[in-house]
Amino acid sequence: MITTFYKILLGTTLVGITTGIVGCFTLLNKQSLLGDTIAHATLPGLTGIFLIILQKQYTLLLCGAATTGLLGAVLVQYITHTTKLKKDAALGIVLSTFFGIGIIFLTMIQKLPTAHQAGIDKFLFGQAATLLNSDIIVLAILSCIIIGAIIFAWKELKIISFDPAYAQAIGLPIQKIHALLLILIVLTVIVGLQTVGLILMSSFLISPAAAARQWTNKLHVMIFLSIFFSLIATTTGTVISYNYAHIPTGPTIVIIATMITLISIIIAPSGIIATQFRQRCRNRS
Amino acid sequence: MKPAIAIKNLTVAYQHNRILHNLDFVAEVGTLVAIMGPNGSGKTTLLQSIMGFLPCSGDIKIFNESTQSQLQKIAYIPQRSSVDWTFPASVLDVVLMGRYGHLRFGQRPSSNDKEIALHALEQVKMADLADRSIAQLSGGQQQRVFLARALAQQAEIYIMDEPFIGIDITTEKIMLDIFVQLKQQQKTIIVVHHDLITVQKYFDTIFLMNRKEIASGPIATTMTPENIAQTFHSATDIDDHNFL
Repeated sequence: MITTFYKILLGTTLVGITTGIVGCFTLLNKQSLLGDTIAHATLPGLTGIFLIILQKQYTLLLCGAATTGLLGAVLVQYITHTTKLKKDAALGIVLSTFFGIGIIFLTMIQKLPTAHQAGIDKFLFGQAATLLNSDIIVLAILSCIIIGAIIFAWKELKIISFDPAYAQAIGLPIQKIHALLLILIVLTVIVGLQTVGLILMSSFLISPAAAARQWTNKLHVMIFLSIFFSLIATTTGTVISYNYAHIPTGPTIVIIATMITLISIIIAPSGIIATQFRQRCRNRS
Repeated sequence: MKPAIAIKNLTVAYQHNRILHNLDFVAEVGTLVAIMGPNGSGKTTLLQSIMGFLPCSGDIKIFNESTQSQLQKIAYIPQRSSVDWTFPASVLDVVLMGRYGHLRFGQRPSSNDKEIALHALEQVKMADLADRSIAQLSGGQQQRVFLARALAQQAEIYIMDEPFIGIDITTEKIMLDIFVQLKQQQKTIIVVHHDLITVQKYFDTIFLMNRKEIASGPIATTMTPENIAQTFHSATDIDDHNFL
Protein backbone atom coordinates (compact mmCIF):
# COMPACT_ATOMS: atom_id res chain seq x y z
CA MET A 1 0.00 0.00 0.00
CA ILE A 2 2.72 2.42 0.99
CA THR A 3 4.65 1.82 -2.21
CA THR A 4 1.55 2.63 -4.27
CA PHE A 5 1.18 5.88 -2.39
CA TYR A 6 4.81 6.86 -3.00
CA LYS A 7 4.51 6.01 -6.68
CA ILE A 8 1.53 8.33 -7.00
CA LEU A 9 3.38 10.97 -5.00
CA LEU A 10 6.29 10.66 -7.41
CA GLY A 11 3.90 11.22 -10.31
CA THR A 12 2.35 14.33 -8.80
CA THR A 13 5.78 15.64 -7.78
CA LEU A 14 6.79 15.55 -11.44
CA VAL A 15 3.66 17.51 -12.27
CA GLY A 16 4.48 20.05 -9.54
CA ILE A 17 8.04 20.59 -10.76
CA THR A 18 7.18 21.04 -14.45
CA THR A 19 4.20 23.33 -13.89
CA GLY A 20 6.23 25.32 -11.36
CA ILE A 21 8.90 26.06 -13.96
CA VAL A 22 6.81 26.47 -17.11
CA GLY A 23 4.22 28.51 -15.18
CA CYS A 24 6.86 31.20 -14.55
CA PHE A 25 7.58 31.64 -18.25
CA THR A 26 3.87 31.50 -19.09
CA LEU A 27 3.15 34.24 -16.56
CA LEU A 28 6.10 36.44 -17.57
CA ASN A 29 5.15 36.11 -21.25
CA LYS A 30 1.58 37.14 -20.38
CA GLN A 31 0.31 33.88 -21.89
CA SER A 32 -1.87 32.79 -18.95
CA LEU A 33 -5.06 32.71 -21.01
CA LEU A 34 -3.35 30.81 -23.79
CA GLY A 35 -2.60 28.11 -21.22
CA ASP A 36 -6.30 27.96 -20.42
CA THR A 37 -7.26 27.63 -24.09
CA ILE A 38 -4.64 24.94 -24.70
CA ALA A 39 -5.84 22.96 -21.66
CA HIS A 40 -9.47 23.02 -22.81
CA ALA A 41 -8.44 22.28 -26.41
CA THR A 42 -6.89 18.97 -25.32
CA LEU A 43 -10.31 17.44 -24.63
CA PRO A 44 -11.38 16.66 -28.24
CA GLY A 45 -8.01 14.99 -28.91
CA LEU A 46 -8.20 12.93 -25.76
CA THR A 47 -11.78 11.80 -26.27
CA GLY A 48 -11.44 11.53 -30.07
CA ILE A 49 -8.56 9.06 -29.76
CA PHE A 50 -10.51 7.05 -27.21
CA LEU A 51 -13.48 6.81 -29.58
CA ILE A 52 -11.15 5.39 -32.23
CA ILE A 53 -9.10 2.91 -30.19
CA LEU A 54 -11.76 2.23 -27.52
CA GLN A 55 -9.23 1.53 -24.78
CA LYS A 56 -7.39 3.60 -22.19
CA GLN A 57 -3.98 3.60 -23.83
CA TYR A 58 -2.37 6.41 -21.86
CA THR A 59 0.38 7.36 -24.32
CA LEU A 60 -1.98 7.47 -27.29
CA LEU A 61 -4.57 9.48 -25.36
CA LEU A 62 -1.89 12.03 -24.43
CA CYS A 63 -0.74 12.20 -28.05
CA GLY A 64 -4.29 13.00 -29.09
CA ALA A 65 -4.58 15.60 -26.34
CA ALA A 66 -1.26 17.21 -27.34
CA THR A 67 -2.29 17.33 -30.99
CA THR A 68 -5.53 19.23 -30.48
CA GLY A 69 -3.96 21.36 -27.72
CA LEU A 70 -1.26 22.48 -30.13
CA LEU A 71 -3.79 22.86 -32.94
CA GLY A 72 -5.85 25.15 -30.70
CA ALA A 73 -2.80 27.28 -29.91
CA VAL A 74 -1.82 27.54 -33.58
CA LEU A 75 -5.40 28.43 -34.49
CA VAL A 76 -5.35 31.31 -31.97
CA GLN A 77 -2.20 32.72 -33.66
CA TYR A 78 -3.76 32.21 -37.11
CA ILE A 79 -7.00 34.02 -36.19
CA THR A 80 -5.13 36.97 -34.64
CA HIS A 81 -2.83 37.31 -37.68
CA THR A 82 -5.36 36.92 -40.48
CA THR A 83 -8.51 38.54 -39.11
CA LYS A 84 -9.36 41.79 -37.36
CA LEU A 85 -10.17 39.86 -34.18
CA LYS A 86 -7.99 40.55 -31.17
CA LYS A 87 -6.31 37.84 -29.15
CA ASP A 88 -8.93 37.68 -26.38
CA ALA A 89 -11.67 36.99 -28.95
CA ALA A 90 -9.55 34.34 -30.69
CA LEU A 91 -8.82 32.66 -27.34
CA GLY A 92 -12.50 32.63 -26.41
CA ILE A 93 -13.62 31.21 -29.73
CA VAL A 94 -11.02 28.44 -29.83
CA LEU A 95 -11.52 27.48 -26.18
CA SER A 96 -15.28 27.07 -26.36
CA THR A 97 -15.34 25.42 -29.80
CA PHE A 98 -12.70 22.82 -28.97
CA PHE A 99 -14.13 22.16 -25.52
CA GLY A 100 -17.62 21.83 -27.02
CA ILE A 101 -16.45 19.21 -29.50
CA GLY A 102 -14.64 17.44 -26.67
CA ILE A 103 -17.79 17.34 -24.54
CA ILE A 104 -19.77 15.87 -27.47
CA PHE A 105 -17.16 13.12 -27.81
CA LEU A 106 -17.22 12.58 -24.04
CA THR A 107 -21.01 12.16 -24.08
CA MET A 108 -20.63 9.64 -26.90
CA ILE A 109 -18.04 7.73 -24.82
CA GLN A 110 -20.33 7.66 -21.78
CA LYS A 111 -23.03 6.03 -23.90
CA LEU A 112 -20.65 3.19 -24.84
CA PRO A 113 -21.10 -0.13 -22.99
CA THR A 114 -17.49 0.03 -21.73
CA ALA A 115 -17.86 3.56 -20.38
CA HIS A 116 -17.56 2.68 -16.71
CA GLN A 117 -14.08 1.24 -17.28
CA ALA A 118 -12.87 4.15 -19.30
CA GLY A 119 -12.68 6.84 -16.64
CA ILE A 120 -12.04 9.41 -19.34
CA ASP A 121 -14.10 11.93 -17.38
CA LYS A 122 -11.40 11.76 -14.67
CA PHE A 123 -9.27 13.91 -16.99
CA LEU A 124 -11.68 16.82 -16.46
CA PHE A 125 -10.90 17.35 -12.77
CA GLY A 126 -7.96 14.97 -12.28
CA GLN A 127 -7.64 11.91 -10.08
CA ALA A 128 -4.08 11.30 -8.98
CA ALA A 129 -4.98 7.91 -7.45
CA THR A 130 -5.67 6.52 -10.94
CA LEU A 131 -2.00 6.95 -11.97
CA LEU A 132 -0.42 3.64 -13.01
CA ASN A 133 3.26 2.73 -13.03
CA SER A 134 3.42 3.07 -16.80
CA ASP A 135 1.75 6.50 -16.58
CA ILE A 136 4.45 7.65 -14.20
CA ILE A 137 7.16 6.57 -16.61
CA VAL A 138 5.50 8.63 -19.37
CA LEU A 139 5.26 11.61 -16.99
CA ALA A 140 8.93 11.23 -16.06
CA ILE A 141 10.04 11.22 -19.70
CA LEU A 142 7.89 14.25 -20.56
CA SER A 143 9.15 16.12 -17.47
CA CYS A 144 12.77 15.45 -18.40
CA ILE A 145 12.15 16.76 -21.93
CA ILE A 146 10.49 19.93 -20.59
CA ILE A 147 13.15 20.65 -17.95
CA GLY A 148 15.98 19.85 -20.38
CA ALA A 149 14.54 22.21 -23.02
CA ILE A 150 14.23 25.02 -20.48
CA ILE A 151 17.79 24.62 -19.22
CA PHE A 152 19.05 24.54 -22.82
CA ALA A 153 17.07 27.57 -24.06
CA TRP A 154 17.23 29.50 -20.76
CA LYS A 155 18.66 32.73 -22.16
CA GLU A 156 16.39 32.67 -25.22
CA LEU A 157 13.26 32.16 -23.09
CA LYS A 158 14.42 34.92 -20.75
CA ILE A 159 14.98 37.51 -23.48
CA ILE A 160 11.66 36.90 -25.28
CA SER A 161 9.89 37.22 -21.94
CA PHE A 162 11.55 40.58 -21.21
CA ASP A 163 12.11 42.29 -24.56
CA PRO A 164 11.00 40.41 -27.69
CA ALA A 165 11.57 43.46 -29.92
CA TYR A 166 15.22 43.61 -28.89
CA ALA A 167 15.57 39.84 -29.37
CA GLN A 168 14.34 40.34 -32.93
CA ALA A 169 16.66 43.31 -33.41
CA ILE A 170 19.76 41.24 -32.61
CA GLY A 171 18.65 38.55 -35.02
CA LEU A 172 17.43 35.86 -32.62
CA PRO A 173 14.85 33.48 -34.14
CA ILE A 174 11.98 34.81 -32.01
CA GLN A 175 9.29 32.87 -33.85
CA LYS A 176 11.10 29.62 -33.10
CA ILE A 177 11.55 30.59 -29.45
CA HIS A 178 7.85 31.48 -29.15
CA ALA A 179 6.99 28.14 -30.78
CA LEU A 180 9.23 26.36 -28.27
CA LEU A 181 7.47 28.08 -25.38
CA LEU A 182 4.11 27.11 -26.87
CA ILE A 183 5.16 23.45 -27.15
CA LEU A 184 6.45 23.55 -23.56
CA ILE A 185 3.08 24.88 -22.36
CA VAL A 186 1.25 22.14 -24.30
CA LEU A 187 3.52 19.43 -22.86
CA THR A 188 3.11 20.78 -19.34
CA VAL A 189 -0.68 20.77 -19.68
CA ILE A 190 -0.43 17.15 -20.89
CA VAL A 191 1.70 16.24 -17.88
CA GLY A 192 -0.92 17.69 -15.54
CA LEU A 193 -4.01 16.24 -17.23
CA GLN A 194 -4.44 13.16 -15.08
CA THR A 195 -3.55 14.83 -11.78
CA VAL A 196 -4.96 18.34 -11.95
CA GLY A 197 -7.40 17.84 -14.80
CA LEU A 198 -7.77 19.94 -17.90
CA ILE A 199 -10.38 22.39 -16.61
CA LEU A 200 -8.28 23.72 -13.74
CA MET A 201 -4.87 23.19 -15.32
CA SER A 202 -4.34 26.80 -16.38
CA SER A 203 -5.09 28.02 -12.89
CA PHE A 204 -2.52 25.62 -11.46
CA LEU A 205 -0.01 26.69 -14.11
CA ILE A 206 -0.26 30.33 -13.06
CA SER A 207 -0.96 30.35 -9.29
CA PRO A 208 2.42 29.08 -7.98
CA ALA A 209 4.30 31.38 -10.39
CA ALA A 210 2.13 34.36 -9.40
CA ALA A 211 2.77 33.57 -5.71
CA ALA A 212 6.52 33.25 -6.29
CA ARG A 213 6.56 36.56 -8.19
CA GLN A 214 5.45 38.37 -5.01
CA TRP A 215 8.56 37.30 -3.07
CA THR A 216 11.48 37.96 -5.40
CA ASN A 217 12.94 40.03 -8.21
CA LYS A 218 15.26 37.28 -9.43
CA LEU A 219 14.13 34.87 -12.14
CA HIS A 220 15.87 31.75 -10.83
CA VAL A 221 14.66 32.38 -7.27
CA MET A 222 11.16 32.89 -8.65
CA ILE A 223 11.34 29.52 -10.42
CA PHE A 224 12.54 27.63 -7.33
CA LEU A 225 9.85 29.25 -5.17
CA SER A 226 7.24 28.46 -7.80
CA ILE A 227 8.30 24.78 -7.77
CA PHE A 228 8.19 24.80 -3.96
CA PHE A 229 4.65 26.26 -3.80
CA SER A 230 3.55 23.94 -6.57
CA LEU A 231 4.84 20.90 -4.65
CA ILE A 232 3.01 21.92 -1.46
CA ALA A 233 -0.20 21.94 -3.50
CA THR A 234 0.38 18.67 -5.37
CA THR A 235 1.48 16.79 -2.24
CA THR A 236 -1.54 17.89 -0.22
CA GLY A 237 -3.79 17.11 -3.18
CA THR A 238 -2.27 13.65 -3.50
CA VAL A 239 -2.72 12.80 0.19
CA ILE A 240 -6.36 13.86 0.12
CA SER A 241 -7.09 12.17 -3.19
CA TYR A 242 -5.43 8.93 -2.05
CA ASN A 243 -7.42 8.73 1.16
CA TYR A 244 -10.78 9.94 -0.13
CA ALA A 245 -11.43 8.40 -3.54
CA HIS A 246 -14.52 10.52 -4.22
CA ILE A 247 -12.68 13.85 -3.95
CA PRO A 248 -11.11 14.88 -7.26
CA THR A 249 -7.45 15.91 -6.97
CA GLY A 250 -7.52 18.93 -9.30
CA PRO A 251 -9.79 21.21 -7.27
CA THR A 252 -7.92 20.39 -4.03
CA ILE A 253 -4.56 21.22 -5.62
CA VAL A 254 -5.86 24.41 -7.21
CA ILE A 255 -7.52 25.66 -4.01
CA ILE A 256 -4.29 25.18 -2.05
CA ALA A 257 -2.21 26.86 -4.78
CA THR A 258 -4.65 29.78 -4.89
CA MET A 259 -4.52 30.16 -1.12
CA ILE A 260 -0.72 30.34 -1.27
CA THR A 261 -1.02 33.02 -3.95
CA LEU A 262 -3.52 34.97 -1.89
CA ILE A 263 -1.37 34.83 1.25
CA SER A 264 1.69 35.88 -0.79
CA ILE A 265 -0.14 38.85 -2.29
CA ILE A 266 -1.05 39.97 1.22
CA ILE A 267 2.11 39.35 3.25
CA ALA A 268 5.04 39.35 0.76
CA PRO A 269 7.54 42.27 0.82
CA SER A 270 5.83 43.80 -2.22
CA GLY A 271 2.40 42.78 -0.93
CA ILE A 272 -0.64 44.68 0.29
CA ILE A 273 0.33 44.97 3.98
CA ALA A 274 3.89 46.12 3.30
CA THR A 275 2.74 48.64 0.69
CA GLN A 276 0.11 50.08 3.04
CA PHE A 277 2.67 50.28 5.83
CA ARG A 278 5.18 52.11 3.61
CA GLN A 279 2.49 54.53 2.46
CA ARG A 280 1.53 55.35 6.06
CA CYS A 281 5.16 55.91 7.02
CA ARG A 282 5.55 58.24 4.04
CA ASN A 283 2.39 60.16 4.91
CA ARG A 284 3.60 60.68 8.48
CA SER A 285 6.99 61.97 7.44
CA MET B 1 32.42 59.34 -46.81
CA LYS B 2 30.64 56.03 -47.16
CA PRO B 3 27.08 55.59 -45.93
CA ALA B 4 26.35 53.36 -42.92
CA ILE B 5 22.66 53.43 -43.75
CA ALA B 6 21.19 54.32 -47.14
CA ILE B 7 17.45 54.25 -47.74
CA LYS B 8 15.75 54.96 -51.05
CA ASN B 9 12.03 55.36 -51.76
CA LEU B 10 10.85 53.93 -48.45
CA THR B 11 7.07 53.62 -48.24
CA VAL B 12 5.32 52.08 -45.26
CA ALA B 13 1.55 51.63 -45.16
CA TYR B 14 -0.63 50.34 -42.38
CA GLN B 15 -4.19 49.34 -43.29
CA HIS B 16 -4.24 51.58 -46.41
CA ASN B 17 -2.87 54.49 -44.40
CA ARG B 18 0.52 55.65 -45.62
CA ILE B 19 2.80 56.39 -42.68
CA LEU B 20 5.95 57.00 -44.69
CA HIS B 21 5.94 58.10 -48.27
CA ASN B 22 8.88 57.86 -50.71
CA LEU B 23 11.41 58.65 -48.06
CA ASP B 24 15.16 58.86 -48.74
CA PHE B 25 17.57 58.76 -45.81
CA VAL B 26 21.34 58.57 -45.54
CA ALA B 27 23.58 58.34 -42.47
CA GLU B 28 27.31 58.61 -43.12
CA VAL B 29 29.78 56.50 -41.15
CA GLY B 30 31.05 58.24 -38.00
CA THR B 31 28.31 60.86 -37.73
CA LEU B 32 25.73 61.75 -35.16
CA VAL B 33 22.34 62.12 -36.84
CA ALA B 34 19.22 63.61 -35.24
CA ILE B 35 15.78 62.69 -36.56
CA MET B 36 13.13 65.29 -35.81
CA GLY B 37 9.46 65.60 -36.52
CA PRO B 38 6.14 66.14 -34.74
CA ASN B 39 4.22 63.36 -32.98
CA GLY B 40 2.84 60.85 -35.45
CA SER B 41 5.28 61.90 -38.18
CA GLY B 42 6.59 58.33 -38.55
CA LYS B 43 9.95 58.59 -36.74
CA THR B 44 9.58 55.31 -34.83
CA THR B 45 8.24 53.71 -38.01
CA LEU B 46 11.39 54.81 -39.85
CA LEU B 47 13.62 53.23 -37.18
CA GLN B 48 11.55 50.05 -37.14
CA SER B 49 11.75 49.80 -40.93
CA ILE B 50 15.54 50.06 -40.75
CA MET B 51 15.51 47.17 -38.25
CA GLY B 52 13.30 45.13 -40.59
CA PHE B 53 10.39 44.93 -38.11
CA LEU B 54 7.78 46.18 -40.60
CA PRO B 55 6.74 45.20 -44.09
CA CYS B 56 7.73 48.08 -46.37
CA SER B 57 8.59 48.87 -49.95
CA GLY B 58 11.81 50.58 -50.96
CA ASP B 59 15.48 49.89 -50.67
CA ILE B 60 17.23 49.74 -47.28
CA LYS B 61 20.98 49.10 -47.21
CA ILE B 62 23.24 48.80 -44.17
CA PHE B 63 26.90 49.04 -45.21
CA ASN B 64 25.64 48.27 -48.71
CA GLU B 65 24.05 44.98 -47.62
CA SER B 66 20.55 43.92 -46.57
CA THR B 67 19.53 44.64 -42.94
CA GLN B 68 19.08 40.95 -42.11
CA SER B 69 22.73 40.15 -42.84
CA GLN B 70 23.96 43.15 -40.81
CA LEU B 71 21.84 42.87 -37.64
CA GLN B 72 24.91 42.18 -35.48
CA LYS B 73 26.27 45.57 -36.48
CA ILE B 74 23.19 47.52 -35.38
CA ALA B 75 22.33 48.23 -31.77
CA TYR B 76 18.68 49.18 -31.45
CA ILE B 77 17.55 51.04 -28.35
CA PRO B 78 13.75 51.11 -28.22
CA GLN B 79 11.71 53.57 -26.19
CA ARG B 80 12.14 52.87 -22.49
CA SER B 81 8.39 52.33 -22.11
CA SER B 82 8.48 49.38 -24.53
CA VAL B 83 9.38 46.85 -21.82
CA ASP B 84 8.02 45.85 -18.42
CA TRP B 85 10.57 47.13 -15.90
CA THR B 86 9.05 45.05 -13.08
CA PHE B 87 10.43 41.94 -14.84
CA PRO B 88 12.53 39.80 -12.43
CA ALA B 89 16.03 40.56 -13.71
CA SER B 90 19.15 42.33 -12.47
CA VAL B 91 20.86 45.24 -14.23
CA LEU B 92 23.69 42.92 -15.31
CA ASP B 93 21.18 40.36 -16.67
CA VAL B 94 19.74 42.99 -19.01
CA VAL B 95 23.13 44.34 -20.14
CA LEU B 96 24.30 40.77 -20.82
CA MET B 97 21.43 40.44 -23.29
CA GLY B 98 23.52 42.70 -25.51
CA ARG B 99 25.87 39.71 -25.95
CA TYR B 100 23.13 37.23 -26.92
CA GLY B 101 23.38 38.09 -30.61
CA HIS B 102 27.01 36.90 -30.55
CA LEU B 103 26.11 33.54 -29.00
CA ARG B 104 24.69 30.37 -30.52
CA PHE B 105 21.24 29.05 -29.57
CA GLY B 106 21.54 27.50 -26.12
CA GLN B 107 25.07 28.86 -25.56
CA ARG B 108 25.69 30.57 -22.20
CA PRO B 109 27.44 33.95 -21.91
CA SER B 110 31.13 33.40 -21.08
CA SER B 111 33.18 35.23 -18.45
CA ASN B 112 34.47 37.38 -21.31
CA ASP B 113 30.87 38.36 -22.16
CA LYS B 114 30.35 39.27 -18.50
CA GLU B 115 33.46 41.45 -18.54
CA ILE B 116 32.23 43.26 -21.65
CA ALA B 117 28.84 43.81 -19.98
CA LEU B 118 30.47 45.11 -16.79
CA HIS B 119 32.68 47.44 -18.82
CA ALA B 120 29.57 48.78 -20.58
CA LEU B 121 28.03 49.42 -17.15
CA GLU B 122 31.16 51.30 -16.10
CA GLN B 123 30.84 53.47 -19.21
CA VAL B 124 27.32 54.51 -18.19
CA LYS B 125 28.51 54.93 -14.56
CA MET B 126 26.34 52.13 -13.18
CA ALA B 127 28.91 49.43 -12.35
CA ASP B 128 27.98 49.58 -8.66
CA LEU B 129 24.35 48.79 -9.51
CA ALA B 130 25.11 45.61 -11.51
CA ASP B 131 23.28 43.31 -9.09
CA ARG B 132 20.34 45.62 -8.44
CA SER B 133 16.89 44.57 -9.59
CA ILE B 134 15.73 46.56 -12.62
CA ALA B 135 12.46 47.22 -10.80
CA GLN B 136 14.34 49.63 -8.50
CA LEU B 137 15.78 51.90 -11.18
CA SER B 138 14.89 55.51 -11.96
CA GLY B 139 13.90 56.51 -15.50
CA GLY B 140 17.38 57.82 -16.24
CA GLN B 141 19.02 54.66 -14.92
CA GLN B 142 16.69 52.52 -17.06
CA GLN B 143 17.79 54.49 -20.11
CA ARG B 144 21.46 54.01 -19.19
CA VAL B 145 20.89 50.25 -18.79
CA PHE B 146 19.48 50.21 -22.32
CA LEU B 147 22.49 52.17 -23.58
CA ALA B 148 24.88 49.81 -21.75
CA ARG B 149 23.14 46.83 -23.36
CA ALA B 150 23.70 48.44 -26.76
CA LEU B 151 27.37 49.15 -25.92
CA ALA B 152 27.84 45.50 -24.87
CA GLN B 153 26.66 44.54 -28.32
CA GLN B 154 29.78 46.27 -29.73
CA ALA B 155 27.88 47.41 -32.80
CA GLU B 156 28.81 49.82 -35.57
CA ILE B 157 25.49 51.65 -35.72
CA TYR B 158 23.41 52.81 -32.73
CA ILE B 159 19.74 53.56 -33.33
CA MET B 160 17.87 55.22 -30.47
CA ASP B 161 14.22 56.11 -30.12
CA GLU B 162 13.70 59.16 -27.90
CA PRO B 163 16.41 58.32 -25.35
CA PHE B 164 16.21 61.76 -23.72
CA ILE B 165 12.58 61.63 -22.63
CA GLY B 166 11.98 61.70 -18.87
CA ILE B 167 15.61 61.45 -17.78
CA ASP B 168 17.77 63.40 -15.32
CA ILE B 169 20.58 65.81 -16.21
CA THR B 170 23.31 63.36 -15.08
CA THR B 171 22.02 60.72 -17.48
CA GLU B 172 21.75 63.23 -20.33
CA LYS B 173 25.36 64.30 -19.79
CA ILE B 174 26.62 60.68 -19.59
CA MET B 175 24.74 59.74 -22.75
CA LEU B 176 25.96 62.73 -24.75
CA ASP B 177 29.57 62.03 -23.66
CA ILE B 178 29.22 58.44 -24.83
CA PHE B 179 27.82 59.63 -28.18
CA VAL B 180 30.92 61.78 -28.67
CA GLN B 181 33.22 58.85 -27.77
CA LEU B 182 31.37 56.53 -30.14
CA LYS B 183 31.68 59.07 -32.91
CA GLN B 184 35.42 59.26 -32.33
CA GLN B 185 35.51 55.49 -32.81
CA GLN B 186 33.87 55.98 -36.22
CA LYS B 187 30.52 54.61 -35.03
CA THR B 188 27.29 55.95 -36.46
CA ILE B 189 24.58 57.17 -34.08
CA ILE B 190 21.01 57.90 -35.10
CA VAL B 191 18.76 59.46 -32.49
CA VAL B 192 15.14 60.56 -32.50
CA HIS B 193 15.45 63.72 -30.50
CA HIS B 194 13.46 66.87 -29.70
CA ASP B 195 15.72 69.32 -27.95
CA LEU B 196 17.02 71.93 -30.40
CA ILE B 197 19.81 73.11 -28.09
CA THR B 198 21.54 69.74 -27.69
CA VAL B 199 20.97 68.97 -31.37
CA GLN B 200 22.84 72.14 -32.35
CA LYS B 201 25.62 71.49 -29.87
CA TYR B 202 26.34 67.81 -30.40
CA PHE B 203 24.88 66.52 -33.65
CA ASP B 204 26.40 66.63 -37.13
CA THR B 205 23.39 66.27 -39.36
CA ILE B 206 19.66 66.52 -38.96
CA PHE B 207 16.81 64.80 -40.74
CA LEU B 208 13.54 66.73 -40.57
CA MET B 209 10.52 64.64 -41.44
CA ASN B 210 6.76 64.56 -41.39
CA ARG B 211 5.70 61.34 -43.09
CA LYS B 212 8.13 62.33 -45.82
CA GLU B 213 11.49 64.02 -45.85
CA ILE B 214 11.24 67.78 -45.28
CA ALA B 215 14.93 68.62 -45.24
CA SER B 216 18.21 66.99 -44.32
CA GLY B 217 21.88 67.88 -44.10
CA PRO B 218 24.36 69.65 -41.81
CA ILE B 219 22.81 71.36 -38.79
CA ALA B 220 23.95 74.86 -39.77
CA THR B 221 22.34 74.89 -43.19
CA THR B 222 19.34 72.66 -42.49
CA MET B 223 17.99 73.88 -39.17
CA THR B 224 16.50 77.05 -40.61
CA PRO B 225 13.31 78.55 -39.16
CA GLU B 226 11.54 77.88 -42.48
CA ASN B 227 12.43 74.18 -42.49
CA ILE B 228 11.45 73.77 -38.88
CA ALA B 229 8.18 75.60 -39.41
CA GLN B 230 7.44 73.43 -42.41
CA THR B 231 8.20 70.27 -40.41
CA PHE B 232 5.97 71.22 -37.56
CA HIS B 233 3.42 73.01 -39.83
CA SER B 234 3.40 76.28 -37.88
CA ALA B 235 5.30 78.21 -35.25
CA THR B 236 2.52 77.69 -32.67
CA ASP B 237 2.79 73.97 -33.19
CA ILE B 238 6.45 74.21 -32.21
CA ASP B 239 5.56 76.08 -29.02
CA ASP B 240 2.94 73.48 -28.19
CA HIS B 241 5.56 70.77 -28.28
CA ASN B 242 8.17 72.77 -26.36
CA PHE B 243 10.57 72.53 -29.21
CA LEU B 244 12.08 75.97 -28.76
